[in-house]
Amino acid sequence: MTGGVTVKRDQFLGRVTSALRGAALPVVTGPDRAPVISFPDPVERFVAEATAVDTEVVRVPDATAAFDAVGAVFETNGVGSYVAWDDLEGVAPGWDEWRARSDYEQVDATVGRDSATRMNDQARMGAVRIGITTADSGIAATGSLVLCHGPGRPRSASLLVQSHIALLPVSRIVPSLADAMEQAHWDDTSNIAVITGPSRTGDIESILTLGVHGPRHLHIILIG
Amino acid sequence: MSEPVQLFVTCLVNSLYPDVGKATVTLLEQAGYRVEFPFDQTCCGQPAFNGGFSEEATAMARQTLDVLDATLGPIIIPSGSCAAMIIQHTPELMVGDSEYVAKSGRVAARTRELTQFLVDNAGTEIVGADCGDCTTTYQASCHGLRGLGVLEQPKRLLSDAGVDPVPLDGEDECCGFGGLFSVKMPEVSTAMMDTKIKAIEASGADLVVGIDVSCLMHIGGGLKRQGSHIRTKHIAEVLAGESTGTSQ
Amino acid sequence: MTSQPVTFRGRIQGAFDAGVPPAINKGARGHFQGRRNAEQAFPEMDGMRDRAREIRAHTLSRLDHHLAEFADAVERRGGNVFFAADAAEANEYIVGLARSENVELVVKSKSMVTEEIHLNDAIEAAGIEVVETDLGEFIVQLAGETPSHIIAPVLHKNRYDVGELFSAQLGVEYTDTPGELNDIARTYLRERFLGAEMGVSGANFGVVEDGAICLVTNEGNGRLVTSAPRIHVAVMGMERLVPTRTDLAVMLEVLARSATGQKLSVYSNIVAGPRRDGEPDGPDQFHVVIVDNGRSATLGSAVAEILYCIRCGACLNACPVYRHVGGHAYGTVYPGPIGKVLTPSLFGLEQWHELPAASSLCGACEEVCPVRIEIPKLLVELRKQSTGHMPLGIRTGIAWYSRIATRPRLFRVVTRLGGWMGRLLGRGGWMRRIPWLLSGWTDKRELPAPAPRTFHDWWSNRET
Repeated sequence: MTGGVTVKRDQFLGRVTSALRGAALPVVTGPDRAPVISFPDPVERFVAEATAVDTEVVRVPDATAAFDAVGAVFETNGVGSYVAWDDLEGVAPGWDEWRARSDYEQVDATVGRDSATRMNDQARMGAVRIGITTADSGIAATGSLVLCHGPGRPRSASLLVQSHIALLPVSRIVPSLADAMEQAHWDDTSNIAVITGPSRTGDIESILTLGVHGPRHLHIILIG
Repeated sequence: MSEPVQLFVTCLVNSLYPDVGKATVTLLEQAGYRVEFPFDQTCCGQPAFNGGFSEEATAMARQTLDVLDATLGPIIIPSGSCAAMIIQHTPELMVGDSEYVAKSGRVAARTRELTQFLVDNAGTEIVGADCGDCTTTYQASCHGLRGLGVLEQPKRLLSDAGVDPVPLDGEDECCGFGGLFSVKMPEVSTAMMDTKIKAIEASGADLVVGIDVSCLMHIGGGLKRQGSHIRTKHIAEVLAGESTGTSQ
Repeated sequence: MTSQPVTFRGRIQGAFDAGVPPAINKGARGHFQGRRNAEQAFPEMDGMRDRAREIRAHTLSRLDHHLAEFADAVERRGGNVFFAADAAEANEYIVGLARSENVELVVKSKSMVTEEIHLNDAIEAAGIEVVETDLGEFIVQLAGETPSHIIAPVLHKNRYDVGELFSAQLGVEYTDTPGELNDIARTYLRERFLGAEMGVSGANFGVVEDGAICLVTNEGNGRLVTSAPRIHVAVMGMERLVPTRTDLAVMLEVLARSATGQKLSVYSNIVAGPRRDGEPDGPDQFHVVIVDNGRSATLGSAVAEILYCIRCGACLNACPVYRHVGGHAYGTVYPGPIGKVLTPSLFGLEQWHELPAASSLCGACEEVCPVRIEIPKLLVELRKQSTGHMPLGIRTGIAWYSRIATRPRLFRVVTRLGGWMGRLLGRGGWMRRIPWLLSGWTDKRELPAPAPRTFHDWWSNRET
């Protein structure tokens, strides 16, 4: 930090401090906690809410069935390459074996740091149509996924692709956003995405359109 | 001897719509109250308050508090807007003056908008309505609605009187009156009025009922200019039936 | 800052003459109804709003501490923080950064504060291309216009307008199908995202304990802007902090419901520093520019409460004035009820005194505000400070009326005289034309004449 920047910071904060001395802020005595949100059947609620925001949800009993569901998405899209997170084996045992056996090709998601490599890698990733991830939690109240990005967990898998597939064990479903925020791995990530349905816009005449920038399809495969 | 109530008629009713005041007296008497009229009352100060003229507003609000605090019993006002002024804004204006803060608190606690009082406090039975074969609709006034929560009371009174109001699309949307706003920003004010009039026409009503003569004056003035057959009437006049004269 | 003509009334008249697009009223009402439905479907909404207000109040009351703590936390995560006293300092920092990093293309996600400081103009003046990526903002930028709504920038355009614009500006075949228009924008913008060196975003919230910012979008452009380019710059108004993650959850619970009626926006994107070692993608630099630009002065003023605002746009949708005049009439980046307070307090009441006057004080804004800002009260406060701009006739009228109304006997005499005048003036109880002060009333409305006899007189007779 340079000296000039420090001075600016001190001047800035000094203005705020003196403004606060004269501030006519209302006296607010609100509750010191938010209402607690809970559901008798969070999984059922999760499915209903996710479906309501155009997420395609399937619930399967085990990993093997989950792989079939993943395969079905590949069939529909008619593509062979994909980007995936490294921790799928943990939520769907047998994943590594299935992956090795399948005809589909996993693309290396690493984007280089120098400018030219970076642009190249971005363009390469931009062409991949399918992304497969786990999720740190699912939020029953809103049908959302929480994705903490990090090593082995590229952002592109849920961002640049046409179809995002998330494998989510039912045990990771929590009632509310507040619960998910408390559980998220804030200290080990540079980016957390809370995703509620496929990309959408209503900018033109409030008419709903899916897939404007992010994925057009969001598939959640609930395991368990 | 019956319980006394204090009538605060408001400056607009006093000068422009005294029949609304008379109808209010009738209704309160029918409900079994002895109506008293604190004679030195003038204006609650709301026009000045809303315009940002706090000195003038404070002077008028103090005058009002002096007059009303010297009386006993509920204070009844045939206006949601003026009632909200006395209940909500007058205490804010008095901050810093402990004598008047106390006065404004006492007066605010006794003050009720007319229909609020009739339904919530008095449980009045309405005798009948002066309407002929009219179709009524109810336009909610903003300050009564949002400041005091008055919406169901007037509708219920109208239903009890046999003139169930037909639904009005956007009944809780401002008609565009807004006090000084109506003369300072007439273009927007009348654009809002036109929307309101269209909704009224679409409702099929030929009588618009409200709890504030100010909003009704604005809507009625527009209807009159447009040559409409639709009339406006304060709810007190509708509910008091044939027993008083009527305006417009 | 200002569009022509220079007065609010002038701009309204202009808008009325040109015809305010019906899409504005329709769109605003649609969002309003969406919000109402969302509220009814969420029993916790009331408590959530109470809590949200409490969080905003608590945060602002110790804003200096929170800002310092936030900046330290951002730096701990490897981000850079720049404190900008005004628009010029903010722009200078961002443009300087772009220059030193040889940036040729900047992609942006929708941000009110960057519009406020006119960042795009500054970037373009430096010869650097800047592309808005929110679909609505992209359309507005292509058309060379300004947004007309906080969260729905092209509420004033229909799909035929957009179809013509795209075919003229992007050289594509004309279509007015929203899905196809969407695909055109996606393809065009995707290339820009992947080719840009710098992404500039706003920040819906800054999370103090984690040194993170949260950016909310439905389209996903916010995630792209903060992930694809090498450098991410987040520009944040200094008041947008929340102390904790749990507080962030509360604000997000009320934000989308209030804005569009969604339970959550599609993407709540939390950015906590540049990418770390071992992370496959993400930006290599993360900068937060914290902007004052009039906010500390507002904080020290009688309308400090306006800084609670979380820019959901609910008050615009609820406002009957907004529905009738549209966003452009307000003349600045902040339209609607919130703008009527924010604009004069940030940019000067002297220039913007008409805005607080342009309200019927109906209270629809306060009713829907997720953090329960008492907007009508703040409008009255600003009116108090600008009574000098009221027409002389109104000022004198109020002064006289107050003198009369504080003298009960005089009041009775004057109102009785009024009744006599009414008998002379009013034909059929109505007056058609009143000159001068009240001409604004009688242009489109009749005015009732005073009744022949006041209530006071009737009561006196009744008693005797």
